[in-house]
Amino acid sequence: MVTSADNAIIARPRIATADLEGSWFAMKRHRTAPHTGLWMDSAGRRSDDSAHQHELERRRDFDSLPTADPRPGLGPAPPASPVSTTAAPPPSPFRDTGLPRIAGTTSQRLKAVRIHLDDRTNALERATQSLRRTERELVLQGKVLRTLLDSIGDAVLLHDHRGDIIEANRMASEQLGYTRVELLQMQITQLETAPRNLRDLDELGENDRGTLEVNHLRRDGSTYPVEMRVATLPFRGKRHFVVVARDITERKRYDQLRKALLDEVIEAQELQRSDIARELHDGPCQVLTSALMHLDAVAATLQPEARSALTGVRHHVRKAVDELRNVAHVLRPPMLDELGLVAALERLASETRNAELRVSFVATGQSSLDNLAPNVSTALYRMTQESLQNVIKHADASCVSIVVSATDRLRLVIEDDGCGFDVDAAHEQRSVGLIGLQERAGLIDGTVMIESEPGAGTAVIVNVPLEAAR
Amino acid sequence: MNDIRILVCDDHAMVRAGICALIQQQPDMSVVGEAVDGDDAIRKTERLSPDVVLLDLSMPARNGLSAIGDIRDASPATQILCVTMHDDPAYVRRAQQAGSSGYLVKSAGDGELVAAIRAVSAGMRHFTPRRLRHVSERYEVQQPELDTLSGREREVLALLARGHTQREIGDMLHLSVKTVQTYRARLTQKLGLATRAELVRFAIASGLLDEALTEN
Repeated sequence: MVTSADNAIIARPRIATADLEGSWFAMKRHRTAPHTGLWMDSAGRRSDDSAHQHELERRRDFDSLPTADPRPGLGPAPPASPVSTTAAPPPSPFRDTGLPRIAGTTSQRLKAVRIHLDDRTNALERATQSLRRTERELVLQGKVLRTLLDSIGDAVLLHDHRGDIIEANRMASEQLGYTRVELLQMQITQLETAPRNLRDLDELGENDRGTLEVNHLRRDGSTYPVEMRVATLPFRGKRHFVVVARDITERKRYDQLRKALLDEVIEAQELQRSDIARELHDGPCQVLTSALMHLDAVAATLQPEARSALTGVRHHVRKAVDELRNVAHVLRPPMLDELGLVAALERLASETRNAELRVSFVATGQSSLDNLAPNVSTALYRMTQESLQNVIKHADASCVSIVVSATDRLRLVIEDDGCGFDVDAAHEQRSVGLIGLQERAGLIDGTVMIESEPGAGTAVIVNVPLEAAR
Repeated sequence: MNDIRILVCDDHAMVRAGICALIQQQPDMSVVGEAVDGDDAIRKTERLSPDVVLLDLSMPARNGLSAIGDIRDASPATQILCVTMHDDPAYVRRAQQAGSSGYLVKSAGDGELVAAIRAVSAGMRHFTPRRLRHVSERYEVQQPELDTLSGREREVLALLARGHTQREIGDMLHLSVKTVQTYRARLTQKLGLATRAELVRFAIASGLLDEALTEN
């Protein structure tokens, strides 16, 4: 507690503004609520800290002292200031600086100033310490981030809207063969075999993630396929882009293997069907047919009663022949090879037709269509078979159109007016049927497009280049 | 009256045996030769000049259908009777177009083979199966309905008839898919045609698509 030896009362000094202007006394005081005793500094320390308490007490002593008029005889009254000195404590600039108004002797005033200086120094120290703490925190976080980035198995690159690479992780260096320093001097498009137009990134919104497949170029000139995910990142007031690039060489290889396997399965299946159909046709069918003829020959030599007894037998044999023929036909219609695609599809249409389902078939460019390579006719026939099966099973349609044409390209359309389906969802689920169609088309160098909307029917459109078809 | 001289062509020995057995029972017929494929059939026709050639359509190497023309060239007086496993009308049509005088199914039996041979050797035709197929829609262009279509509608119709997806049509004509769908709906409304097959037939019948048409 500070008391004045000389004076019972130490009034708040009214130090002329002119004296202190520009000096560091005019510094803004820390935000405090002096009378409540709550005090928090930049480092978040509260006033229950004992050193502060001490400060507070000292300050409180000062604050509680009433303002007093300058003692008569002390000297000329200080020059008039905008702040009045009447009873209700006026808003004094010195309240803000925390400088207590001290009346009294020079030594008393010096003491007060020194105390205030100490106060300010401590405040500064605390501020500095907290800044240093924040700095250390940031450095630490920086290290954590760096470690994280460098342990990610994909290349991560940060670039600005012009494409200049600003940051790259370890994997980026490993994948591309450039050091980090080298990468930081490059443009993102220099890493691509087919440099993108970065203006396309203008459309990328804050929450969008663009995904694309490109090929990246290593330092040594080799290339590899990459799946890139791009997101925007505001950085230093401008739009920047974070790119995560995954090396998908392995994945592509697996995809190719899988496709090759599927293609082999399809071809093997076709071969097997062919073989079975032919064996049925050449074997049991012919034998039974011949038996029928012999039966007829024998029957001709018999008496009427005996002859009519054989009718039942004949009927059964005939039935067996027909059934075997049907099985062979479904497996592989002989007319596909003998009469061509158009005749085979015509037959398929009439077989599929029934009371509930109208099937119409139209072909244009027949001469080309009848001269197709066998694997092409077979593929188109099978795709039609499969699509018709799908219509029967799922579409609940009343009519189906089969249109095949050979103009500039070979086109096959199977369109129904049924309930349709969500094509994107089916793709997501990687529906086996759809994949099968695509693979069959791919095997003959063609494509399949499926247009459908729930409630609006379905169109399966197969497109094959004509040169591949002969 | 002379015997009807018959050349039996089939790649299956058992079938040939069966046919021969049937023929041998007939007093007015005889088998003068057997052939195992199309080329063999042509050669033997040339050499033997039979009255009737019984021709299987599904022989290996050179099949029957393609041999019909050459057999007729080799011996114009010879009648060709196709005897085959296939009962499909498409085969019948083709056989007829190629120049055969008759067609029947192997399992027909019941004296039909014999009757057919007699018929064609007498210059008549014998074609079975004659079973009715399901009646197909036949579209006849009643009026010049093409004129009721706008230029754009005609473009969309032509592209649909060519087998393009609605998205492709949109890309080609710089329209959205919804717009293409609207045009298609208008086509249906104006022409009364809903399915693609109907659109194709109309497009061809009205000359919008310059192509030969095959249909059922």
